[in-house]
Amino acid sequence: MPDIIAAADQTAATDLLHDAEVTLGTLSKSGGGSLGPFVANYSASVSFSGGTIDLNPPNVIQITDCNINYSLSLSFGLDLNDFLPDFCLPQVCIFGWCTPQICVTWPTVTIPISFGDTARMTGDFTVNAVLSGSEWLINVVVDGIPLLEFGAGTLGLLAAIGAAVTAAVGWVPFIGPFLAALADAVLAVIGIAGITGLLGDILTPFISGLTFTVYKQPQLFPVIPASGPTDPVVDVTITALGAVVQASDKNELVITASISG
Amino acid sequence: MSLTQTHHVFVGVEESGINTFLHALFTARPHYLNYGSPFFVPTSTVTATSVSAIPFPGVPGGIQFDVSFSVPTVNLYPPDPGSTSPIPPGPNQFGLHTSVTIVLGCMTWGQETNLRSTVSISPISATLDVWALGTPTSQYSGPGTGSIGLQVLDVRIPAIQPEKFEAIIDCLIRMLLNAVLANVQLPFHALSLGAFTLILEAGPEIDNHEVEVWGSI
Repeated sequence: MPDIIAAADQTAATDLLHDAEVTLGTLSKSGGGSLGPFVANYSASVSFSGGTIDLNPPNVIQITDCNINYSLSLSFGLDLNDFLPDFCLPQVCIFGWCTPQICVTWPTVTIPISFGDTARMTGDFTVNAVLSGSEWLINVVVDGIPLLEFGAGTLGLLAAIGAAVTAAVGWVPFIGPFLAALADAVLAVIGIAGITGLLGDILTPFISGLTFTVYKQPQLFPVIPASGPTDPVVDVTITALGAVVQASDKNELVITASISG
Repeated sequence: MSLTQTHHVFVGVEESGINTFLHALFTARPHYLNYGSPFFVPTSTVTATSVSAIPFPGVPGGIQFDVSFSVPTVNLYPPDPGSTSPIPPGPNQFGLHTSVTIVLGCMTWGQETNLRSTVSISPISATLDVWALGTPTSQYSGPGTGSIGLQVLDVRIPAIQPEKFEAIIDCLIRMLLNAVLANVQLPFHALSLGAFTLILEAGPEIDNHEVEVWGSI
């Protein structure tokens, strides 16, 4: 029989989750992914907030509409020759002297984009208690890959790419007449599918194996802090810890612990 | 019936858990259990607390004494089968068992022929089995901060006769035990081993051999 039983209903468990989201902080990764026909290099930062919990016995915590707050710095190379027509200045002859025909070779430009938005995640998690080194943890660990909803962020990123293309090629000689068509053409080949594909590539590593730690305490748990030379710290050893979702007239996250003095 | 009932969080500490907390506290800070006047405890240390001798006119230096309790154990309602307590706990009560050793510095004094005074002290001691009855208390110092304590209501020391003398000793030990247990203040966060910052809404109550509290976080 455990020495201590602590229970949290769905409201309290949601508060614990939100605390765990804050504790998890901001995660960062970098890598490469497909942006339609382009290969984009990116660095991304992600934090989590919000969401509601449904406790489903025996051991499932469903998290609904957890916000994935992301910010991206990405870039991709755009070979303008793939989108712009060949362009040559015609030969001009004056008094028997002719200029050579000059054909413009369009450059490849790097398109840098900074973008941030919030996606939403809904998925099942499992709860487990583990002794990690000298600390007891209760982790809420994602089970599989949650459902991601990008919402208006896809259109926002598409617009950001269009603006970035326009800004990045402004220096290219003779591009003025083609500018509007270029941005449209690039966005057309990327499309919504390209955006969601890239966002999926970027965000999936953050949520694959995603773990929220809702409990973290040292195995040698300080019950009362030291308060003077004759009053040293009073601690107990947590010898066992468990966490389950338990059903009754309302479902609860139940934590059990055994201690020794 | 859910553990949290109409609240959002619940913490229940079993009798064994309370006894572990008590053992940890009094093992780390045994001076809460051991008190002596300067003859027995010259200065306070982590092991024992020095207290004044009991002044009495004509007794040189006052009456020297030492009082030590063993680490108490509690029995949370309902009473454990087989308990021999003469005052078993009722609803929302705990029973407590300890022993107290009282040492008296038995003094003899006089004057030698060269007018020098002499004092000799011979410690004599007795150890008594102590049964007590009490209720949990709570101190609430703000949202999420507070503690659970123990208050003794009654004491029985069956070995003492006659009855009126027992009543005197019972009262004395009740006062001393309450002073000792005033040091037992288990913070809310410790009850849940740090899982919650508990905002107490109900309890502490004693039932099903555990101390139970309810609240929110």
